[in-house]
Amino acid sequence: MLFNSFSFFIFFIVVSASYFLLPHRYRWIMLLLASCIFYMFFVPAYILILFFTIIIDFIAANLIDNSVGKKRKNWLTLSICANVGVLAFFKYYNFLNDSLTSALGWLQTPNPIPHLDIILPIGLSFHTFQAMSYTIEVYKGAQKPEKHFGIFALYVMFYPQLVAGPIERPQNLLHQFHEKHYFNYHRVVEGLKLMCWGLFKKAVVADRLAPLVDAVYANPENGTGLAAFMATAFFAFQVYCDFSGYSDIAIGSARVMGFTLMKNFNIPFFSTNLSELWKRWHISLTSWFKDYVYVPLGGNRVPKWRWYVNLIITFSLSGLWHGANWTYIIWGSMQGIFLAIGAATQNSRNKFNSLFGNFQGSFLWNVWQQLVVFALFCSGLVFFRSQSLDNAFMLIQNGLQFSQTDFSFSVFKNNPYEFKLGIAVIIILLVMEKLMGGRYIYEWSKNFSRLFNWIFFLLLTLTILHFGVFNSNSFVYFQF
Amino acid sequence: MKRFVITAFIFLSLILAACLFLHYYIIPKLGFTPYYWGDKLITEKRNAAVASSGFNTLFFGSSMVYRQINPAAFDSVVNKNSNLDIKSFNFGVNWLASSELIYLTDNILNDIPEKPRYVFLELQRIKMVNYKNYLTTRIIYWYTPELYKFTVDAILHSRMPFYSKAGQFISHTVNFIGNQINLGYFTEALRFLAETHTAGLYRTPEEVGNGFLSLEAENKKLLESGVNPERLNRFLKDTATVYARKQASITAFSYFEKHPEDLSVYNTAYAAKLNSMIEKYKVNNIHLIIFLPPRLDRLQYQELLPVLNALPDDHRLNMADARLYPGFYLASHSFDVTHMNEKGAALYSRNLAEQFVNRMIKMN
Repeated sequence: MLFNSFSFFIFFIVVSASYFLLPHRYRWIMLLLASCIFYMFFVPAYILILFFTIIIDFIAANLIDNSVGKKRKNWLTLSICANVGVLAFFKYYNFLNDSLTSALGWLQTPNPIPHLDIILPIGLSFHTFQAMSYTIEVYKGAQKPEKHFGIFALYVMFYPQLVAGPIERPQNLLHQFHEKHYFNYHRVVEGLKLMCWGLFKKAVVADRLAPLVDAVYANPENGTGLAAFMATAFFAFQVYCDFSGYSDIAIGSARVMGFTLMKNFNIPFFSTNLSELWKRWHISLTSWFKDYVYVPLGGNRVPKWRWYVNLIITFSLSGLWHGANWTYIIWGSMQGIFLAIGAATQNSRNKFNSLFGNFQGSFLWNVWQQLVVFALFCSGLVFFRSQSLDNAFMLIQNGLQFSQTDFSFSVFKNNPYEFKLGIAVIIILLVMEKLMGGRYIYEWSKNFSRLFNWIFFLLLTLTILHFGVFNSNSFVYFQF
Repeated sequence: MKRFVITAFIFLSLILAACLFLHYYIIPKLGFTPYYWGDKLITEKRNAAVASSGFNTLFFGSSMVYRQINPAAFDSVVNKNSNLDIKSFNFGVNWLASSELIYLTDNILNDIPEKPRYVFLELQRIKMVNYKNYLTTRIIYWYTPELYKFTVDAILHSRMPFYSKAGQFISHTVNFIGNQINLGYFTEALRFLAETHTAGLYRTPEEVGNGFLSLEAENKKLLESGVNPERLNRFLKDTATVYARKQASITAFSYFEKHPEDLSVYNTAYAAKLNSMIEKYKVNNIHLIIFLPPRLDRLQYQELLPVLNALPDDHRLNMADARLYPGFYLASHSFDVTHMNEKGAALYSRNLAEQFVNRMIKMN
C-alpha cells in the first residue's frame, strides 16, 4: 500500500480511528493486523518471510537473555545469520551469482549455479536491520528482551515504518507499544500537518522531477553536457523528497496515534561539509551503520590509515545495503573515499580557509560550501541512479562534453512546463526548508498565528491536490 | 475528539469549496483542456473527425469498435446495396466505457461542424473502474454531475448482485470526487498542453485516416519495434475461450426466446438515457443506432439484451447472436477472446452493413 494512494487514505482513517476507539489492551492486535494488511498489499506470501525472522529474533533475544558466556554470542550469531541469510538470499543471491558467471565467463567456464527468478520482498532491508538492532541491543544489555510476542512482532511490523523506515531502535520504539496513548488534539493535528508536508514533497516535488530525470537516465546517450548535470541535480532532489517525504508521512501517521519515531532527515542540502550531510541524511540508517559497523571496526579511535579504511568499508557496505548492483557499491565507496579524503586533508584545508579571514562563515561562504557538498553528493548519485556501470560511465563521458546547444535543454523539451515547474518547486522547497531550519513543519508553524496556520495548510493542501502527481508512483526507497 | 471532528469538517469544507470554485469558474476560463483531453487516441480521432469533412456516419465504442469495424468494408457494402452514399469514420477507442462513451458522443456531435446522418453507438454494460486505474486522468476527466448521476442510477437499476453494485458505486464515486476536486489537474493539463505542442507526438488526421486499426496491424508494428506479442501468443495457446463466448451467446439468446417475459425486466435508467439520446439527436437529423457487439460474456447478455429490447426497432441492431453469425466466433477470425482479427473484422463490418441497409430499407 502506497502512502500516496487512495487505499492508504482510507486505511489511515480507519486504523487511526479504530486505535482510539478500542480499549488499550486490544490496540496491539488491531495495529498488528493492520500492519499485516498493509504489508500484504504488495506480495501477500512474503509476510511468511517476515514472520520467520520475527520468530527467530524473538526466540534468540530471549535465549540471549537467559544465557551466559559464549552461549549468548552463539544465539546472537544464529539470529544475525538468519537475518543476513534471508537478506542475502533474496537480495544478493542473483547479484553474486551473476558476478560469478561474469568472472567464470572470462575463464570461458560455464557457471553451474542457476539464476533464480526471485522478487525482492518489499522493505526487506529495512525491517531486517530493525530486527537485527533488537537482538544486538539485547546482547549488549541495553534492552530487555520483549516477552510479548505480539508486541515484538508489532515492533518489527509497525505499518508506518515497515517498508521504508525510519529504522527504529528498540529503546525508542518498543516501550511505546506498552504505553497507553490518549487522543490529543494538538498531537493529531501536528501529525496531520507533517503528513501533509511529506505528501507535498512526494507528490508535488519528487514525482514531478521523476520524468525529467528519466528523460536522461533512461537514455544516457542523450544526456550531454548541462542536461546530464541538471538531471543528476534533479535526481538529488527527487530522491530526497521521495524518501524524506515518505519519512514525514510515516512519522506523522505514527504521531497521530501517539507514537514518536526518530527523525530521518535534517535539511541535508544545507550541510557545509560531507560528513555533516551524512549525519543529516537517512539518519536512522547512517546511525545504524555507525553503531553496528563503524564503531565495532574501531571508528576514529585507531591509526589514521585504519580510520580512513573504516570509513570506506562502512560506506561501501551502506552502498551494498541499498542494492545488489556494482553501481550502489561504487556509490557507497565514493562517499567513503570522499569522507576519508576530507578527514585526511582537514588540517591543510583549515589552513587554506584561514587565508579568507572573516569571509569564512559569511552567507556567501556557506552557500559556496553547500554547493561544493551538493556537487560531491551528486557525483556519486550518477552511479546510484544509473541502471548499470556502462550507463553511468557513458553519462559521465557525455556530461563532460559541453556544447552551446546544451543550454537549450533539448532533452527536457517534451515537457517544458514541467521543467520550469520542477525548478520552481525546488526553489519553494529550499526556501521552506531554510525557514523551518531543521524543525518539523508543525514545530515551525507554531510560531505563527492560528489564521496563518489555517491559510498556509489550506494552500498547501490545495497545491498538493492540484499540482501533485497521482498515478501511484512507488517510493524510490521501497526497492531497498 | 469533538474539537478535532469539527476542525476537520471545517477544513475539508473549505478545501471542497475552493476546489469547486476552481473547477467551475477558474479552470474553464483558463481553457487549458478541451473536452477530449483524456486520452491521446481520443484527441487524434477528434481532430481527424473534425478536420476531415465528408464523414456522414460515425461509429462510437470501445476497442470492439476500434479494432473490428472497418469503415472501408462497411461503406462498400452499404453503397453497393443502397443509395445512402455513406462515408464512415471509426471513433472506437480502447477501454471507452459506457458513461465516457456517452460523454464523448455528445461532445463530438456538438463539436463537428457538419453533423453526421448516422451515429452508431456500441451498447455496453456500466463497468467497474479497475482499482489500478483509480484517479488517473483517463478515468476521471469525463465526469460531470449529470453523467455521475446517470452512472449511479444505471448501477442501481442494473441486474447486478448487491456487492457488485456497491463496488461499482464506490469506484465511480471516488473517481467522481477526484474529478470535482481537480486531483492532479494542473500536472496533467500541463502535460497535455506540452504534448499537443510537441510536433510529431500526435498523429495527423491523414495518418488517422478512417480511424480503423486492426489488432494485427498494431501487432505487426509491435513486432517491428521488438515488443513481444504476448496477447496473441496467449490466445493461440487456448482458442477454446472463443468457443465459450459462442456458447454464452447461444445460451443467452435461447434463454430469452424461451422466457421473453424476462426481457421486460430491464435497466430503466440506462434505457431511458439511450432513448433520450435518440430523441435529442433526432432534432439535429442524426439517426442514432445502438448495436450490441458480439463476443460478450454471460453477465453482459443478461444486462444488455433487455436494454436493447427496450429501444425502438429502428434504432437498434443486434450483432451478438452466435446462431445468426457463427463466423464471428471462429478461431481463424480471432485475434484474442474478445477481438476479431482483420479477416473477422471485414466479415463483421460487412454483416453490420447488411443489417443496416436492411433496416433502412425496412424503415423507408
